[in-house]
Amino acid sequence: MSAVDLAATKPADVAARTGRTGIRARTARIATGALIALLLLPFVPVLLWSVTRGWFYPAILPPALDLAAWGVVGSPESGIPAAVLRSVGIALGATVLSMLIGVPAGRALGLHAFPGRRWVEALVLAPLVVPPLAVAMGLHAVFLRLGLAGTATGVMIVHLIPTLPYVVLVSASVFSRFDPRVEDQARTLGASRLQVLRHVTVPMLAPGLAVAALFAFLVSWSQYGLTLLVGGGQVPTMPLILNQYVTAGRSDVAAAIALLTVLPGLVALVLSARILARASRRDGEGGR
Amino acid sequence: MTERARLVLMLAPTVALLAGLFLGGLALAALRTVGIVPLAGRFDPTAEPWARALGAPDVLASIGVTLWIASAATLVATVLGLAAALLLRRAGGGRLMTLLVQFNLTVPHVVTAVGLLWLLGQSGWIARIGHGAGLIDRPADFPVLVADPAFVAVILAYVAKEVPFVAVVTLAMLAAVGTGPAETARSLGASRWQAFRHVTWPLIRPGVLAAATVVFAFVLGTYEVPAVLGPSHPKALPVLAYQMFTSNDLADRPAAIALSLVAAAIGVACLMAVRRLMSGLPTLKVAR
Amino acid sequence: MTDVVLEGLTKTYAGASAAAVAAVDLVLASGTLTTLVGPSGCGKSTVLKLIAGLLPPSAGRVLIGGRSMADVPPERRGAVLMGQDHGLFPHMTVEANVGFGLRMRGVDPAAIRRRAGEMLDLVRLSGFETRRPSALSGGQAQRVALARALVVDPAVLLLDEPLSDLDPELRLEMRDLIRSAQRATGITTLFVTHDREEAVAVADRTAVMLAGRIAQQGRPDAVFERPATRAVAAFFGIGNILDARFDGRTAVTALGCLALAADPPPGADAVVIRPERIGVAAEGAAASGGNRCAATVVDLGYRGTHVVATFRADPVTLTAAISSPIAAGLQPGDRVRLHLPAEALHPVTD
Repeated sequence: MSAVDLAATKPADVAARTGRTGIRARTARIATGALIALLLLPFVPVLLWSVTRGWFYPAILPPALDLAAWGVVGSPESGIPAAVLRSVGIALGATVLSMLIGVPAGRALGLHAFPGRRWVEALVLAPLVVPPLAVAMGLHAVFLRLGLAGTATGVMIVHLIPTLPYVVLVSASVFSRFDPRVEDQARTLGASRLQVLRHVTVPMLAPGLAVAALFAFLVSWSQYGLTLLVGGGQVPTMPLILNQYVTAGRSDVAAAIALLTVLPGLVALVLSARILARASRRDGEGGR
Repeated sequence: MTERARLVLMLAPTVALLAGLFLGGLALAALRTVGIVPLAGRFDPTAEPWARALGAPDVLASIGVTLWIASAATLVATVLGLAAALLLRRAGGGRLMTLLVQFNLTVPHVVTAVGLLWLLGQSGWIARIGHGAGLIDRPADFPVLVADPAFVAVILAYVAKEVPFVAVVTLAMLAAVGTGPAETARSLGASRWQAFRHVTWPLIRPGVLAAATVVFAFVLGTYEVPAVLGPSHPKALPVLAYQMFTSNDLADRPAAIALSLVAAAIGVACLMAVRRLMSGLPTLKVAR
Repeated sequence: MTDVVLEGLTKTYAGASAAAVAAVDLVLASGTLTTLVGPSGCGKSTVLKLIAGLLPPSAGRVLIGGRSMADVPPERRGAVLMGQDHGLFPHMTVEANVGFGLRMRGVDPAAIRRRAGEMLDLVRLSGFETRRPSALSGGQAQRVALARALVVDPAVLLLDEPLSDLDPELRLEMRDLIRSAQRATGITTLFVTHDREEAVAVADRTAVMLAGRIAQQGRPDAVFERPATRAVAAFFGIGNILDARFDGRTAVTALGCLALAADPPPGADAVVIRPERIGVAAEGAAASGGNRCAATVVDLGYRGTHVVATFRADPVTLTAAISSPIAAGLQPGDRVRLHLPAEALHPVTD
């Protein structure tokens, strides 16, 4: 097998190969597009249902535009505005608490080696892998006794079980890319501990930590099982209200609620993509 | 303050919270199933809840279908997620395409489930298109995909949700591995496929398998998807456990907890598998 | 053995305003080692990727063994790339790494083992077959990477800064190993580096690349001693550049008329002289002949093997590398006479 043999290839063979490679990128785009279409297909009836009523089989498209559902969504009697506030409040509370508790732990895991590290890692990972149903059932009696069962506070606390690990893991990866020597550098240049935090550490880490917070908010916002168990049906968040309207046969209102429920995720996705793109641009310039 | 004390302070809140809520909840749940309720000062060891749980009608069928759902959803989601990541990269991974693939990641499960209910039901959107195309006449002619014994809609809901998750993990793994190894392989005489098969795939495999394990464990413990899309008989494990937990017969409660502990036990096994897989990922380790 | 020809090779990256590689013409004669030297970012690594087929050219072509590579995928070119991070596959043993290329070609396992063994022998790593890359030192890993590249008997070996991650002693050892392995196998090799000394030390020919273009190519000593342009002179560390008009073999400079050993090329507008070619004598020393000027010592920098002396010869500043004994007799402020030998003065274009 000499070098010349390797380089020598039949022209027809070569053309066939490159022809295929050329098409492949386009095929890949088409296939990706098809996959995306399939993934998004469930939202077609949701979108259509949110702007119509009385849309029965076999009509493929809604018979008429009807925004009654949005009227229901906006009216206080439906309880939906209250549910939005409740969901936002619980998710914000869970986010703030998990950031306060989880970011320092993320720093420890991202920057330091210490005895028992494996166990801390396992403890953080566990709530994300082990189904939470048994945990919530075990806590139920305690929450009852503490008067937390059936309250928004109780639901928020139990939401910390999935949100906190996300914050710890995301911030650990943020810190693992952070060189703490810049803090020492700032200290030697005359900054106090607080000034270092304010002018160096936080600005450098802000984009990554913002993404962690967005994640935490979304995780709490999407919870169903934990809310149902600990809330005992008395803390109807958006996902629960959505299912109630589906069961009640008000598909139009359910669709409107579904769209509202998807909204924060969409915003978070666009925001985090922006934040990360800007951060990588900034870091790229800094590196040059 | 010593380094050690600072580390302890950074880690303590997270460890305390997760140990208290997660491990505590799990421990209380486990004790309750053997007749021990510390808060109520009750201590009459018994195996009765386990006998009741495992002896209840449908329990074995329930465990069986739950494993079926988790296996099928994991397999399909992993294959498609891997394909989506590779296709995205081959297609040049435009930002919009990447965002669209990630979109479902942010959608609460219950919304996806409701969307599929309206899409795949016998009078759903696809059935209507089938009618429009002259393929079916009445809704009953459309195959039963929702609340069916094979849990097709349930599995598809998980697939729609988890394909983006597997794709995102795979893209991160591909980014960590970089194009270097594949390019080296190509220049040493490997075809595009050989370079993937012998070099890139072995390097990203642990991450992809870890993602698949997380998906499997997650599917085991999720309530809302089978609650919306599953049949009433047999029920998925989380649905059965929740119904037993909230049944009028209080004696069902410990049995319900025993059932959810079965799911948790499988989850713990998954956790150990994930940790083994992740220890083989030097590029993703957070410690320096 | 195969020669490699680059014809008008051009690469403009999507979204970039300037070409990373602009109309490069280069011939790698069969069995020779050519170095491609230039500052980082000059496009030299891109040239390697274009030859290897890992990037499509925007224009121009690559010929290997006289055959255009336009439609040939990387694995059929016989152009093996070896990068600065050894690029060993972490999940394979040393032997599997070395045998990789043969395995991809469907060579039978017994033959792979034998050939891998021979190559490990060549790079003096026999006995390391079952190790993992993570258990190798940087130098060992680089030797395995060399063995892995050589085992497929490539048409052309492309080395991308292969020594830059190594310690100084290891660099010399690895450089000699690459050179001897290249001579032993006769594989046409293109060696990319930013290190000037490395570039001229191992090469049969050297090409200097600046801002995407080949600024000069030729024998290493010719490129080193006789840069064609100011930019090449500056890249090779020649700070002594005197603007000049030429009148036959005379350069008219700020230091007066300087005699040259040869006719200047058309378009020349300056003369350069390497620091080590400038002669230094005490002010009153008897000296005959032209090309001498009075100067003042400005600064003396000890460099171990020599002393870098800076002289002011109004209106210009010259730098000379002089031996320690000569420097020992000098102090800043001393008056000296500098000698710029005609055969060391070299005209350059802009």
